[in-house]
Amino acid sequence: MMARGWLIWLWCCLLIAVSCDVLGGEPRWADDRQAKADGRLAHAMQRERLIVGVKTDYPPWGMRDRSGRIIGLEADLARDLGRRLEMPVELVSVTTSNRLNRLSQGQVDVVIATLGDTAIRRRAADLIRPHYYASGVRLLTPAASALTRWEALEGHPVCLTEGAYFNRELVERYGIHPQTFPGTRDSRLALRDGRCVGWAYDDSVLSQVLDDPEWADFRLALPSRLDTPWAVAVASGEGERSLGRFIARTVADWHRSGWLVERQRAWGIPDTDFLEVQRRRFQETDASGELLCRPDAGGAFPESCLEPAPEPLPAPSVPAWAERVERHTGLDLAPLFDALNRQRLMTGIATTLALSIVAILGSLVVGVLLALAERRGSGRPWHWLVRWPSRLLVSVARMTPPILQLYIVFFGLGGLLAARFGFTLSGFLVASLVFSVYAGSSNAAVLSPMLARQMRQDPEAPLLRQVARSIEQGFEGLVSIMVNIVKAAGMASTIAVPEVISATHRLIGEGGDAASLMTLLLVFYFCFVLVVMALLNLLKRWVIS
Amino acid sequence: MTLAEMLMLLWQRTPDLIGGFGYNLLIAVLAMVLGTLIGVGLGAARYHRSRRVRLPAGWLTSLCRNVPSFVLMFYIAFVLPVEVEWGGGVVTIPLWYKATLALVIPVVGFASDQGLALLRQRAQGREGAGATFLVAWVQYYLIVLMASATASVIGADEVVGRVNEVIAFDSTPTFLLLGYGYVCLFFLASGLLISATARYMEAWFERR
Repeated sequence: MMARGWLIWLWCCLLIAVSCDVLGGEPRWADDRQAKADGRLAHAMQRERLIVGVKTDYPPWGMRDRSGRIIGLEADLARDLGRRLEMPVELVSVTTSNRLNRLSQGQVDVVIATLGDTAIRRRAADLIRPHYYASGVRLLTPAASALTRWEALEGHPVCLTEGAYFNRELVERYGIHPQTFPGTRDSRLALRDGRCVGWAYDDSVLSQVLDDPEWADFRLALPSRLDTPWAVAVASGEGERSLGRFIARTVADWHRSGWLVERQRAWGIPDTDFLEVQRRRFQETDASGELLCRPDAGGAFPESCLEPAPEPLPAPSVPAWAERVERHTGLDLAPLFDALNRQRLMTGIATTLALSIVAILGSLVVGVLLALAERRGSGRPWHWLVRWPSRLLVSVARMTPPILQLYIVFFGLGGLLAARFGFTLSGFLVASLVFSVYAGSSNAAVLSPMLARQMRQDPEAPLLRQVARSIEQGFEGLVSIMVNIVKAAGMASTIAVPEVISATHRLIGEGGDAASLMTLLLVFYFCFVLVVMALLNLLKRWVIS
Repeated sequence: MTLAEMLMLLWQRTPDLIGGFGYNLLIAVLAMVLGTLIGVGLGAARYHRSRRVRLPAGWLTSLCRNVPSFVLMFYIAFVLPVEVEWGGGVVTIPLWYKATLALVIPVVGFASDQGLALLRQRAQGREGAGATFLVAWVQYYLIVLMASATASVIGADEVVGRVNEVIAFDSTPTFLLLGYGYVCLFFLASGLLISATARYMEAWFERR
């Protein structure tokens, strides 16, 4: 007993000694000579909490455990950062498409979320060097594919995942025909269902997919392209302040101490050359034993210790009138003078228009059918067979949120269909269907009493005339429902339909001024709804006369 | 996960989900109350004798009527501050406040129109104008409750956001269907309750 007690003591002393030695060199906020927090760090200290955005859909970098807690390699990094700052950490789930928006809105202090360092993103946030990881884009294809060069992809459909940094470059540089899906799961399904020749995505993820025996018939065809280091991000301007400087020193220490490699192994991620190179670089010392890679008095690391930062993009040339607009109204229109952005917005507006038209017509058809199901053949023995299912549909459609209906049909039913029968529902189709049924149920409630009256008053009239008369009489009510459906159509952005709200978000995510672009979006919608109302009122006059 | 495990997980997280649904109910009630107060005021202004009062009130109403709450949600999330300094500390403005604010606007439009109709009917001496207003109000509450589910898109803490967290654990289509279907039942149950209330009120007013 005695001997074991001593042994435990000895172990504890050893552990303390070792940790003192290891931790001695680690940057901690309290030890910092110039421990004067400014900017966002001062703000976080006042709040007594550091808020870090991490992913929850990117195992093993970020995911949730059974209790809903966020875990993963990047969650570890965030918690370690908080430990060094001696502050509790709150982890917030962010996605590829909203992470930089959440940062510029100030909802999070720091983003550690598989963010590749690119010039476009540097417009939207400050990306910290040293980088903590790196990956490139590769193409996952069926093993039988004969592809050998990226250039051979020109004009072919390629599956992409929304928000990845290389999507834009693949379209511009190799002329691929993009098939963009909202998440990795959907891209994976699309590739299996043969909707594209390959899935171009982060090699760190693709190699993990290949580990799955179900993917034995697939391979990584093309060499890795657009290799990009990953950076911790802080809001624009914070990189040069105490928060950015402290993170830079912390990342250097993660490399130097080998802790990052250790965490990578702990999460079962294969070793990478990048981390090995960084570890050696940050451990290197000169003849006198001083570290070669250490920050200067201003807190910056020597350029030779860092991966090169991407070339800053030339600012888009803005015409004089737009500058005048900015001076007078504060509206920054710069993103509109980029050809690709303009094309995205035009596609967005066209999609919004198309969706509105389809939903208006669809809801009318659904409304008429449901009203007929309610009224036709009443009194006949089989009538309940039609009436009850249609009543159930009306209740469910009106009393569940349309956004949940979109999720259920797109991700749930769509996922099942793809898994079982191998075909994928397009977001546009799902949104048209859901909005048609949602508004159609309300239309049915308006049309049904009108139809009943028609059938009583003029039972011998042909069905078509009865329906037309009911529409005519209930037109006022129908118009307000149709206007509402046009207003609700923006919800389709949540299932990656490339309509005008999605397009605006993408522009903001790439550094466009959020307040200006959101104001423009609001103005667009205001005018759009006015025009729709005016057209429907014209139609009303025409119908009634 | 097996089906039994999925159901078990949903059952375990039910208190959490019900708490989230409480926020939806609260967001909708607050938006209705605030929006009605402002909207009825606007409606009364539109009924005013002077053109100078009538016109701006009309413009404001059409502004509130024409902007989608879904877009407003993003607008308010982007443009209003996230945190304010208060008495030396930092106070975070909860995102559900912003979601409520976004939903107040369409309610203002609705209440302004209904309020104007109410005043006109009263002036014509028509019976039951108040009853029509109340029934329409309860039915509109149902619409606002459904719209409160979109608050999750700006990251507000409510039931859709919470069920998304549960689903993130295993995002197979089956679990997605179960999770979203379960939350739909919450909405369906309160929807049925609300429309039953509206019907009951209608019948009660007719009897009087």
